[in-house]
Amino acid sequence: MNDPFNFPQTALVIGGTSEIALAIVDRLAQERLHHVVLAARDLIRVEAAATQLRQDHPRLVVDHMVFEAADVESHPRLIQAAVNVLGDIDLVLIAAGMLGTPDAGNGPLGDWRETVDVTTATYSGAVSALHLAANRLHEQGHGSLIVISSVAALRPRRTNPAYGAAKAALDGFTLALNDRFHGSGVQVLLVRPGFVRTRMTEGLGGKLPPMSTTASRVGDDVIDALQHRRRVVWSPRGVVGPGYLGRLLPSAVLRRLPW
Amino acid sequence: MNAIEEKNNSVKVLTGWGCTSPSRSTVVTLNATDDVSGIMKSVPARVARRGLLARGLGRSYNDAAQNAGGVVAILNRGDGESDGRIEIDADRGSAVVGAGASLAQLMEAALPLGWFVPVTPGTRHVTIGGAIAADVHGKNHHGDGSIGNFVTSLVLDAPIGRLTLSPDAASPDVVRRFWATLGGMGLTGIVRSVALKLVRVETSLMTVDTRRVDSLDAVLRLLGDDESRYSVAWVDALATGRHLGRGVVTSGDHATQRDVSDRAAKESSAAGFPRSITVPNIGLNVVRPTLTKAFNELWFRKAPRQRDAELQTISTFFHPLDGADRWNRLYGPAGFLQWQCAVPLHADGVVRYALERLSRKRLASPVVVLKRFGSANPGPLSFPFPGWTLAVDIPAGADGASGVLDELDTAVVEAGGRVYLAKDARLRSEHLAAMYPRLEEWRETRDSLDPDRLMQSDLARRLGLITPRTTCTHINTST
Repeated sequence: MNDPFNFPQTALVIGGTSEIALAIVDRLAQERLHHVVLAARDLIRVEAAATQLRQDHPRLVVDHMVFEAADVESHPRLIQAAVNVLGDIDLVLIAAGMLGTPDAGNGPLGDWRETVDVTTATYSGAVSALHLAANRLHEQGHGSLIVISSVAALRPRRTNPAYGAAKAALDGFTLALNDRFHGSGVQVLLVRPGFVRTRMTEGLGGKLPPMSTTASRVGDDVIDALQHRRRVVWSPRGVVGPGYLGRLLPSAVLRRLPW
Repeated sequence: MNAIEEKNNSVKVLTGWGCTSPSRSTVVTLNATDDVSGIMKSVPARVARRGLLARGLGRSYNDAAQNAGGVVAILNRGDGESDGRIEIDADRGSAVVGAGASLAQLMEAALPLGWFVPVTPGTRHVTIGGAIAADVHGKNHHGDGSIGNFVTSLVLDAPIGRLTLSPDAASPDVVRRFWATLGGMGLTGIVRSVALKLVRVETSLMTVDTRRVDSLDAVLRLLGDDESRYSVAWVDALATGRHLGRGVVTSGDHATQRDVSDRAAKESSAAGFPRSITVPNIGLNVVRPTLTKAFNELWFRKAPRQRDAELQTISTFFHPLDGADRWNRLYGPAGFLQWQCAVPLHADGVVRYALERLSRKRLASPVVVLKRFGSANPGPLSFPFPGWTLAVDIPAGADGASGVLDELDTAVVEAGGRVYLAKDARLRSEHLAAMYPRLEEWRETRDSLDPDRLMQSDLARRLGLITPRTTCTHINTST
């Protein structure tokens, strides 16, 4: 159950190796979190993340599972397994996603397979888990859902169409879910981080876009938004301007921007 | 969020009085003949799986009267219905009360006959059933104990069936079940009616002595020496330094005929309770440190340094906050919580420590109450025991509140104290067994009334009050 500050006791993380997700779990573990299940595609990395969490928070019980976004048939079993170990799930964090390889944004699209994989990891697989988890929270009558979207969702860019479009779809699904779950006892929080310097983005090289941030700061913003029961949180807060501006800018202008 | 007016089954998001930690339940209004198995059959299986809990007027601060995903049963309080009935034996000074009737209704019925409720908490808008579930205490605890001490019998709809429980029963099982229900947070079943002793009063007024003192030591000394029937202290929890814990101690007793002129007595008993104003929903927290500081300064200075035998109404003396209906809205959408601890008499250092931490972080609202408790009763989960009790309202949106309250909980546990489950919102569950050493005994008795774990609440889930049924492979594991 959540406490009056809206801090959970149990949590399920889909995309459990995401640095943003782990930053959020780290902060929750300093409050009431005593049992978390990390689910991620890469068994070795999710094991390492679990080990690190156990070291940092000796009182925290950490379990991990393999979450394969494309294998949607396995998702009901995975959610059920999480329910079996956690009982009521106070918080579900959807942080699964795959950035793919941004390019210069000209010419033919890159790897076809990658477009499919990015879409599956970031949208269809993530939404499959989100759907099942959301209904579980609805049935138990309480809890919080946090979905990590992106500023890129507001205007998918030519440099990485698959990622932007998948985040846009996830963003839309989450906003609709928020309205649908109003008055259900379940809180839905949509997180729109700006450019976050993480493992996922470090290979991109080049100049960092303005207002880039860190996973740790996104973690702080999410905790604050959770505590204040917000619907959407931008991180850093300043990206709300560029976010909407990006949506409104005419293509003739946008296409000349380097990122 | 109060669901009292709803008649038939409906789905509602409920919170406690603090307006935090919302959860959704199927709210069912019970009729006199409904029992636990009947209720469970009337709802879909997925709802029944999440268990059942009775809810009164929703005055417990946090999640004690919520049952996420499951059934919340509201007693039908309509006139003439058995759950709202009040029968007073004016000769013997006893009453049989439906569990859905409120203390306010009982007072209104009893006062004209010269009787008063034996115990009243800081609000009269609680049901008798809720008062039993929390084993409520009042300003007379140091002498009279909590409400359980005045209950002669009660009817409980437990999952195993309808039972009449009494503390004087010949069977030790019945006595155990009685005391497991007093303070059992509604987890032993649904209380349907209660027989209790009333106290004799000559008038409906109170004679009140007021002392304003400038330090915590003086407050503790006055409360410690107080021989009056009722006593309590308001404390300024934002005062620091040598003023730390300054406060206003009020003590009183029921006024006798000699204390008041006949006319005043008659007028006041006929008048009933004054109408309350309703706080509008402005969607903002107005309980901020600067305002609290100003209010406390004013409240402290307004109190007389010493005033004796002032006549006050029952409302003014016992339930000043009931003058403003829905005052919980003052805390805005983030809501608030109350932290109430009890520590042994020798551990007054914990009270001092708590006030120091709260004043330094400027966390407390103006509602801060300190009192001396008398003897405990046999209820294994009953909160009061001999010592000090401190209750502090805190805005839930206040920065740093969570960490400070964790520190205070630890200090309370180390001193052999406990927090009050009817108020609790955020205790670390690992402290529970240390705070309530008879928890296992309570669980055993509770399980005998509800082997299938049908009774559930958000509080119980949060703290792990109810242990899951042990599943052995060679026994039936299906639930």
